[in-house]
Amino acid sequence: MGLIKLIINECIKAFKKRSIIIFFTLSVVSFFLAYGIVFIEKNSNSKYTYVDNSIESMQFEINMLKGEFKTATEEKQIILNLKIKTYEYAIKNNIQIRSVNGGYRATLIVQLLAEEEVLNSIDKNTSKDEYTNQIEKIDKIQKILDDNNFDEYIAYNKEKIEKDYNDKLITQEEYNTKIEEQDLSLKYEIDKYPVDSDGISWKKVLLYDSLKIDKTIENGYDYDKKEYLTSDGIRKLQEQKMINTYRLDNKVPSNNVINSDGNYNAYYRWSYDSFAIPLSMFFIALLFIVLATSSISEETSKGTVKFLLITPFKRYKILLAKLTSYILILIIITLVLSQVNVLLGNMLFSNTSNDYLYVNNNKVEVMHTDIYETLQYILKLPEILIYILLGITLSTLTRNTAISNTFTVMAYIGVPTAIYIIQQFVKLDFLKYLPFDNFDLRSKVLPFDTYTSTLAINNSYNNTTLQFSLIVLGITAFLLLVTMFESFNKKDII
Amino acid sequence: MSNIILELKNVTKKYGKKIIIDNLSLSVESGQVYGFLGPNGAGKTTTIKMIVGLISIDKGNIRINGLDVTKKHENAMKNIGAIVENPDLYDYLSGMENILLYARIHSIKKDRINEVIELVDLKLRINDKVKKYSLGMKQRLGLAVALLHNPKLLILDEPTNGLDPAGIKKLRDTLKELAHKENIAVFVSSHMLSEMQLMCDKVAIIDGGKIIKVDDLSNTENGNNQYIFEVSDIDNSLRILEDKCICNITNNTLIIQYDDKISNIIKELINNDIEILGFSKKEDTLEEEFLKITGGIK
Repeated sequence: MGLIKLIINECIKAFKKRSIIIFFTLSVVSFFLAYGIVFIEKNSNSKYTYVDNSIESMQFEINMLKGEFKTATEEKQIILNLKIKTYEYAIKNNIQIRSVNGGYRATLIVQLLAEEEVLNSIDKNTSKDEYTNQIEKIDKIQKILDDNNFDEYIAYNKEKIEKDYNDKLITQEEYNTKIEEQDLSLKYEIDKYPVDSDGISWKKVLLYDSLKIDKTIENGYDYDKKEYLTSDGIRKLQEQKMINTYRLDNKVPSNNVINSDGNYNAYYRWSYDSFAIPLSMFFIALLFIVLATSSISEETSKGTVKFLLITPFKRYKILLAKLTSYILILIIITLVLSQVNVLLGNMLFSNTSNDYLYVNNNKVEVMHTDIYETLQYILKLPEILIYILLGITLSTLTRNTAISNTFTVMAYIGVPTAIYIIQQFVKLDFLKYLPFDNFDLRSKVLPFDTYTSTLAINNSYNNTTLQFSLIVLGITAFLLLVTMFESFNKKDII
Repeated sequence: MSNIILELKNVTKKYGKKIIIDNLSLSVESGQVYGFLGPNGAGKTTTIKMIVGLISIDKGNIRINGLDVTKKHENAMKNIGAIVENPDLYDYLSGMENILLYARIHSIKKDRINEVIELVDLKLRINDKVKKYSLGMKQRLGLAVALLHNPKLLILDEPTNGLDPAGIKKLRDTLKELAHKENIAVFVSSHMLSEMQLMCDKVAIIDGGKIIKVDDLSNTENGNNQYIFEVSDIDNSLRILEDKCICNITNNTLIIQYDDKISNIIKELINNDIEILGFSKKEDTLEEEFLKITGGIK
């Protein structure tokens, strides 16, 4: 009961401090800063738009071909006519052959032009059969185009693969892979539509990623990370494949591509989050470092600690109340901030999904965007908590706000950077036992990324598990707590 | 019905090899204003800090209302209200907010808060930030906080610092009233003797961590009942007066402490044919003692 009264007092004292208002404002401002960055990105748009000049260039080709027409032989004129017809067909049906992803019909147009070029090289008189075959081929492609039938296109592709296999141009293994690819393309309608009407490229990316995962697991070696797979690594890859499959099955695109409803909001929200969350929590961390490092030392230097200690409480309770009140305030502020962030995200990006997919009991589960974003905030708490403990410990030991503040801020900003730089040159295994290397709980609890299809494990030097990190952080917290209480209980207030 | 509220027994405090408080013993009764007098650096604040548990005790023990301050810290502290060194309260809070912090700890009702604010005369400025207070106002706010929970023992460290003469008089009256009417034990430290004499019932002089002298001022109306006699026959007069009063011989003079009319003693001497060569009232011994100490520092 007495402890609760002390905690209330400490909360009141903390909330009345000006620093809490300043830093909270800064972290709210950081939302707008993050949105500003996204806004600039949104309006420059250089990354995602390109000028499609397919029609223009096809028109140009037609003019070129028409120019050739006058001087060409009769046979050549037939070919030229075919080509002109093909281009005109493409223009008429608005098939953009120059575009990154013009859909399967664009592919067919390109193939058609190639086959027509082949026809040009065949002597009509000497190799009559070959010529007829080629004409048939061209007609077939033209028919698929006319029918506008995706199934026919896949069947045609398979036929070609079969023929290659029969002609011993490809091995059995290659044949299997290619047929599987075609089956999956049919299933997920890959390339069925041009890119700007449906997010087709993301399907392709996911599909090839899944195929690559199969290959990696088969090899037991990850060429990207240059390391052999552990059982844990294999499990993660399998889960990633499951997520990819889920995305394809349920048409849930990852955020790095255009969304299925044709806007970039999912990507912008992801981009906004990756600025807003770390930046706002950076200011919150600074706030609590300021509060914690001045906790005991400021009361000692200003003399207020004397009134505080002449109250009917054991000393440890007074420190415990301080610590508890900071943790309470930290949790409250973090929750408020995370909800402000969710609200802003929903407002600024019109409720676009940034859902997180993960695997639980061999089943892909969906975590709602709001919860996913909130969780990202919550996972930052243990790190800040350790810095609060470090701050109070230094404040108790040194009784000097300046010293404890400088050291804690240095530890917060400097040490992780220093370790990162060191790790670029030498691999020091023991560093993983330091708390600094175990703060990134997000990559362990939320290992998958909503942005790319591949695993989000980017801290290449730390492959420890979540349990390991929690144990290291737990031991650090315990040692700091013991030091702080020991020092506060024993020391005279001179 | 005076009982001992604060008791120090053989208290010793060392920093390294340096002895700060040396075997100090004293006791303060309820209803008493106890002066703790000593020059700067004598160990007054250190003693007070040990009493309120801010610093540890190396040897001996301190009891408040019978409770050991180290072993039963929580209960002992319930009986104490104190201002140690300066009245340092949270300057970014208002006076009221400061009081409310301590009121919450002690579960004090609103009536008592108003009563205390009234007592220290801070009603008009209570909602101002402490930052804007003068030193005197801070002293009064500190006193309010210390008195809030009706402590049995009130400890004030140099309380008149920063007060104007009117403020000092008000404080003096308040403390006397608290002690004599509400039966609180008041323990006041100071380096100013004149102040102590006006305020205290009992004074202990401390120097170098030791109690030099304890003087009871309450029994003597004007604080001094010693007389110096120069007589023709010292030994004889000593024999005559021995039963009637306290007599001492120093430097061939007779020093007599007598609380009734001094003419009785003079009559007694004359009746016994002893010639009085000189007679004077002894000057304030406390001040003499104190000046000796403070002079010694210089």
